[in-house]
Amino acid sequence: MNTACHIHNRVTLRIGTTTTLYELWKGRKPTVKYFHMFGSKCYILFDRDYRRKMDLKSDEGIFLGYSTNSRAYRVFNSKTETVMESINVVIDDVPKGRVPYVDADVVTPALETNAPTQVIESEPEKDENEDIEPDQMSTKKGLSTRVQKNHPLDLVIRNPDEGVTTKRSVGVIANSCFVSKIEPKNVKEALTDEFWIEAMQEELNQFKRSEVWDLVPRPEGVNVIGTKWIFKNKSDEHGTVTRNKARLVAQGYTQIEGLDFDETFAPVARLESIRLLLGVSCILKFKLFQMDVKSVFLNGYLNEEVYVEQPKGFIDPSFPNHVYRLKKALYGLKQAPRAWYERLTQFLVGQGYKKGGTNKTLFVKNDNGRLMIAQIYVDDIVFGGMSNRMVQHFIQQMQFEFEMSLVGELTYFLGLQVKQMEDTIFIS
Amino acid sequence: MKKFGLDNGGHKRTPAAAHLKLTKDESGISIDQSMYKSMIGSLLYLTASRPYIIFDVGVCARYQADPKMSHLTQVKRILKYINSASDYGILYSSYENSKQIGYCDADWAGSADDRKSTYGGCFFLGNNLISWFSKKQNCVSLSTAEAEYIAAGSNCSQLVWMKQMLKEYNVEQDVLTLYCDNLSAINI
Repeated sequence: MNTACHIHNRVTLRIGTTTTLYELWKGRKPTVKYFHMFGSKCYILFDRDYRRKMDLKSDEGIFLGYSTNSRAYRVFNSKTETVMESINVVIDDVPKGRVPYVDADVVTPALETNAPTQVIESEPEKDENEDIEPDQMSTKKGLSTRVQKNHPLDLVIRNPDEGVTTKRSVGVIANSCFVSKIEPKNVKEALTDEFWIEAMQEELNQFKRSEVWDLVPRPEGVNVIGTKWIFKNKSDEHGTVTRNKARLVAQGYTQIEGLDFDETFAPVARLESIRLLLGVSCILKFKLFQMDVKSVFLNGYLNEEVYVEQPKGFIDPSFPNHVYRLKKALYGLKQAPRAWYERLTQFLVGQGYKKGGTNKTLFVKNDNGRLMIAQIYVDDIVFGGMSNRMVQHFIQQMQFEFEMSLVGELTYFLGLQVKQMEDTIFIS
Repeated sequence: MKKFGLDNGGHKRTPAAAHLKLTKDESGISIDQSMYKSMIGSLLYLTASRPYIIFDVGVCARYQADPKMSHLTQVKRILKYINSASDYGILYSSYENSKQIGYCDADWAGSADDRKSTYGGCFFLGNNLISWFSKKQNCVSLSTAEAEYIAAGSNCSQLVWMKQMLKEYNVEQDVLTLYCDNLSAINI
């Protein structure tokens, strides 16, 4: 869709003029030299990894479009099955064994020479980026269906009878078309981008779900802490953006020690003790698992009274001067890690676990000589037990109490790659 | 990790030359301190799973305050070594006995600048390597025996810590073994 928009902005003429939409917006003529046929086969030159002389020079891929913020092409790498952006791509517009399709309706090759004039109705000058208004959306849709009708069948990726697949079902591939590539620097910038607005909304919904705060009138003589949005693109191991994440943080540096908080620490374990756990798990012969708590710090209950400002861009119109009173910790608060540790300790001790004497982040449950061990590293928990039943029980309990993500065998922890075999563990 | 520019070039079979002595090298050419520091930082991170470079990284890390060309070449050599040994790791396997064993050693007056000694040690549980360290001693020792003695002392504390930790896993240790290399003590 981005690609359609991209081409559209560069080739369609504004009604009654001879300028393209891109010219109106940027004030210079667009270049169409680099345009290629959507879905073409292409070869992506390796420019990132270390490659030996005799190794393959490129991967095969499918051309998808153009990068929104650089001159790179956006391609789907068939080997690694990811969408990536690269400038070192050779695109094969006319694949062998197929007669180039000559039809007025095939949009892409035709576009290189001239623009179809029938599609201009009422397009406003638009940012070439993602935000497409509903009315424009419909014209886009009309356009793309018309194009697809006359596409040669082997050009169509996937089975056309499948219908429209949603974001979730296709996973990474489609997903990367639905995320913003840019990381905004401030809220103002983010509020212009629908993907980022969605991300922020998601964060606030999470707050609502876990009942983080209440809106109250601004109290007198209390230090109200400012809030700030942090925007981060999450990417996978190939460096492609998979998710836009917005996080609301409290500006904890305005907190005053003794008044707003007294003790701060985070539950981290020494690396030695983690290796010790690996060693012990070998000797006692049990498998290790790991889990990751979602938005950890939002789980901790606060003992102190803490007020924060309403988040920028999301101020309640009826009570603009109110502030939020926190019931649970926010990221950035000085006491957030401690609150989380206390909450978890309380929970685990309630479940019959014993806190370690020398290692306060280790929790052990002894059930008739059978051990269940959990080691905490802030939001990562490594655990294992001698009986399968206990492990399952632990997972269930934790999932019931906290929002969890990524529960599975221990593979990657604190930068250590862990491989578990029959009765050995290999770390590197 | 290894994106410090062009270090996908050479490979080295050892992290450092056997009898290399780094000194302050006050007359050497100064180099970019922040780059040096970030290299050291990355290497220190790697020592979490690579015991074999800990001494060399430790030595190089001493010169962060005023890095010179000679130090940078040494750091680059470590990076090259890691490059060739990047798929090495530690293997943990189950083994019948789970005795705790420590090994320690010290060099005497290893630091050419202030004649302080460096000691190190590693600790096994059964045949699994658990922890390791390398540290420059705080005081100047007058003999190898003294240097080794100090090393043995601090290694003991690490062993006792491990014993306490193991108690929490219900693995009891009765005898802790520490091997050290103190010839002069035997001769005395």
